[in-house]
Amino acid sequence: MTNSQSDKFTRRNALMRGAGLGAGVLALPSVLEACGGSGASSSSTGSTAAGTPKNGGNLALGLVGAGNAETLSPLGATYLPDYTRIPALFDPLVALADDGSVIPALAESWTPNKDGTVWEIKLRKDVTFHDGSPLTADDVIWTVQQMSLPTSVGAPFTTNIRVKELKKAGAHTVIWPLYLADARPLDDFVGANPNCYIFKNGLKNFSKPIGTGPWKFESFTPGQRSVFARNENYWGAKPHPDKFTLVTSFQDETSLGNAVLGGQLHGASGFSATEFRSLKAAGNVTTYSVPGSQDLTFYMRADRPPFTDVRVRQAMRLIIDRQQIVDVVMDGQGIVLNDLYGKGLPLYAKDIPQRTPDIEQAKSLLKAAGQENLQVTLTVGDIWGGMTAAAQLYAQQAQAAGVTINVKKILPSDVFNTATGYPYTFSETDWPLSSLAYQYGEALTENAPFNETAQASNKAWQKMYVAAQGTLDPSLEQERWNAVQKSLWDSGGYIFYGRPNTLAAASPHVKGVKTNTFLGGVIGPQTPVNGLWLD
Amino acid sequence: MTDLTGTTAIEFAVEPAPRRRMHPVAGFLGWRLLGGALTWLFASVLIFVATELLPGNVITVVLGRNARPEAVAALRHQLGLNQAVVPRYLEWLKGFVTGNWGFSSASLATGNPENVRHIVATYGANTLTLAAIAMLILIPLSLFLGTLAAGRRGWTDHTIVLGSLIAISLPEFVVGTLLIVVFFTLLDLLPPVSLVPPGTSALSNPRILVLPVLTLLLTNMAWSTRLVRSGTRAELSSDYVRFADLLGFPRRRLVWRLALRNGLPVSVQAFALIAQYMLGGIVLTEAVFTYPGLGTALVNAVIERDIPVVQAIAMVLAALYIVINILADLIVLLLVPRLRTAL
Repeated sequence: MTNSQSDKFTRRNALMRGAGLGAGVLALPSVLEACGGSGASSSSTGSTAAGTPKNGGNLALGLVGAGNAETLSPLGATYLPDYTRIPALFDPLVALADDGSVIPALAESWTPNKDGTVWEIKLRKDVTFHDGSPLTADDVIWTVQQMSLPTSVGAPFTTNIRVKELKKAGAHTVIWPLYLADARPLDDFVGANPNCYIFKNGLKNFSKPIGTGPWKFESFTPGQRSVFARNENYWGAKPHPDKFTLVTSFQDETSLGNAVLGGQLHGASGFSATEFRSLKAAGNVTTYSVPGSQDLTFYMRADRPPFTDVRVRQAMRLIIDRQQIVDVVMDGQGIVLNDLYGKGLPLYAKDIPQRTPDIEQAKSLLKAAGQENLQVTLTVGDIWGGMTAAAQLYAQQAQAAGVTINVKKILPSDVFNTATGYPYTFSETDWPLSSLAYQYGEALTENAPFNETAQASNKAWQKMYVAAQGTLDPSLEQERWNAVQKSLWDSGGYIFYGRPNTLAAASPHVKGVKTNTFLGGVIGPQTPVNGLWLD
Repeated sequence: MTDLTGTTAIEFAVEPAPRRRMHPVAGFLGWRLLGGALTWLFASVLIFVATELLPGNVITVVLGRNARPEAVAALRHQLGLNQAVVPRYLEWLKGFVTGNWGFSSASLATGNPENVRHIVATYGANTLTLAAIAMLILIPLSLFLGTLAAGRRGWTDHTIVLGSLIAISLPEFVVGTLLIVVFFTLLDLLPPVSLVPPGTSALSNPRILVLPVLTLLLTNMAWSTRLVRSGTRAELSSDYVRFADLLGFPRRRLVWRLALRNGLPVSVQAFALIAQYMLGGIVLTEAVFTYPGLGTALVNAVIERDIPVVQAIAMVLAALYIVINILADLIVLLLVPRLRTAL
């Protein structure tokens, strides 16, 4: 057996590139609708369209593309265009509802054994693939087996699954054994994660993929466009347009915006605040601004001076003015975070008070730590467009507490480069929204590949976390997760400061736009494409 | 190799040409083709070495720096990167010459193999279309305006010179953006982006080509017009033209028949340079209008460290540059009788 307890926590996907492009992960609108979810409108600046849906037309949406690296394979999806196409062609096991809870999709129910180490997953029986064959347990088992291959981007999500022991118990039931007890084994298999979508048993070549999704494959040219046709046999709510075209030949957001203004696209997503403002000013498109899906954070290595002293870490968290960063760097198009990952996700500790700047307290902590004239280097690369600006603003704010932050700029490709020193002593990164267990497993637990804060060496916390994750009793689960997060809030090394909104624009002829509070469901990658219609 | 003064052509013309039995022009062409082939071979070494030296690799760029070691190893094996450099170079060169250009490594990394030859052909066809249209307009227009300016001093000359000075000072992205502002934002006459659906020709929707072609014309024509003007004017002040003038030849004939033709060698070389530039260097114009051309593909491939695509595009461009140079020299040779007699 190669897996061990520590393997359980070496989960890491390569979503960063997609998240870095500015919009993050994807909602699964079709499933939400099929399951009765309404896709609540959120802080959209455009109105949520109403009216009677009309069928027909070719819905053309656009994104900044990723050239030949674009793919239709869930096993290789890393870029935003992939994150849009895969949910059109395939379906996930579960989906996130508007309130952040996990709801059924292809999986109808999932039931644990006594200790949560083996789960029985029952599949819907009315689902067929695009080639007419029915969805069965074999397809799910095949998908997970392929995901677990080392070359798959989805491999990190299977490290707690005893893949070789996956088996079917009837045509529509999968027995799902785990290495470690987990109360929420399917949390990473949500629609938000395109690397976990289910495909047909035996499928290896994704040039003409066969899925169960609301759209059927017609054509695909990487870095240019893909065309899909409505799946008339879809098990959920069927799309309204006859076709869905995703144009990804754009290299920058200005030409993307021009294409929307010029009527060559019905809508597009992933704009910066500056471009968004000019689109709003243009007036003849509807703009949407909804909470995005990547959490931005600074991190401090607790095993390297000066951050070995918890008082220094606490002071650095009291110095930063998160609201100012959101207002200035994100042009107000974002939400403030509270030094914790995953605001709004299931199990998030929402009762912990929002941390606000307290310079006097910070000075006092630094004095007690003997670091009154602290000088630190903050290593930053722009994997999100505003990261350097955020770091510079933080450096300005720190002056009030007598702290000198020297911002050292590096290439975006070096942000996660171990050869250049990652994880750095003091740096900045982002985390795409998936589940708390995902980020903790990737960053905070023993042997986590992204050990950015050296939390792994905190044995007491590790115990607390393992206990919380294996808690099946709902009455105790949240309480334990709250304790885990409170500990991080008190003494951890992350300074989660903000989540930029997903910014999009669409022609007024596009109707039926809904948004998803957690995953930034809006035109483009987060579009409930099959809920849209053309007026 | 390409000299704006035209002297290179003369040097090449007099240099080889030993005891020939064949037609002098054919001999010249043979030597130039041989030289071109050697140059291309040398370029292939440079291209291979340069792409070897690019920092990072496709899997860490595409999948992130923390791509699992197993995935990196598998892709390295798939791409043959475990072999020594020299055999790899020879295999690559052989593959290129025999038409086996392999697969895009970025597409392999994400599990969606794309044939490099198909990629180059698709983007190359778009670039050739755009460049050909621009050149077909640029050459006669430059000749006309340049000669007009050379022949007519006064406001015509000043207007053309000043206009070209302004145009030459503006980078393509500024010109392109200004054109979008005028023809899309203000007049709403033309589309601001030039999308070409895969499998179709850019010519199927000519409207999308107007602004990119106009951008290329405005930014490149200024230079060629000025060269035509100066070449023609230099001829106009030469002794034989003055003599013809004294003999009473009409001014128009002096300018358009004598001065223009003899001043052309410089212009031909300039047109060749512009053609080369348009084939490989119109990245900015393509980017402003989202036009899917070879420059865009090359930039994308470099960003993604998609080495097979970078190498293939660079090799194709090198070959085109060499062919255009040879053609330009040949045209100069045919235009100027005194060069042929020197062979």
